[in-house]
Amino acid sequence: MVRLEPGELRPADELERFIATLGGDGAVVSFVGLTRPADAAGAAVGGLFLDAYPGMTEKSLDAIAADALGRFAVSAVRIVHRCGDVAPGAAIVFAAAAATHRRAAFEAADYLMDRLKTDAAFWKREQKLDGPVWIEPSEADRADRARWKD
Amino acid sequence: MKILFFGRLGEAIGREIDYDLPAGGCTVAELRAALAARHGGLAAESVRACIDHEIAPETALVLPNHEIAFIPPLSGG
Repeated sequence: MVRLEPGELRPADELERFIATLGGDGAVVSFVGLTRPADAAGAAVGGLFLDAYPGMTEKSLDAIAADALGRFAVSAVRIVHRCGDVAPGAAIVFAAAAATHRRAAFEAADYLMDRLKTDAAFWKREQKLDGPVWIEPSEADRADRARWKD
Repeated sequence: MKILFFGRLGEAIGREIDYDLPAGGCTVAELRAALAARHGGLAAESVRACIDHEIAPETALVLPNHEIAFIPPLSGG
């Protein structure tokens, strides 16, 4: 259901593998997050480092996936998240949901990403021109998370 | 026992340090205070302790068989 990926994340392969596990679903929605080459203020970012806590990070991803399964009429969800050094433009996250009908799959994929942006156990460091900067969730991320009442 | 650190704490302190836990253990608050004497960043309220991969309250008891980590606020994915 979830995987922490220290190496390259290949979204097309992940989607193919996810679809291969399904039986009888009519809809799959997938999302791919890419590392942006600039921060929110437009300053260049040379790369991202994602610190993960082995055990705890997977547990946080598992909890988000389980919540999506319980909340929407989806048959399966998948989260693959990078850790370690991620280059600008590279895929950092793959999230997908499968369902009998498309609406639940769209909603579950949206939910997975909003939860991941605030609740996934990662610590991110952006490599800026003048040095590395540790970052925390933005107000926009918190507002997106608040769309889904517990 | 080993104490683990992540995010900016891992960068500042190192991934892990060895700590001699008192016989019978101590609370998270006591452990934090002892470690913060050497590593000031641990005193911040936003820094949380984890016991066996779960965020723990300051009153929780730390025992030698626990895995202990201190973490800054999550960045999210």
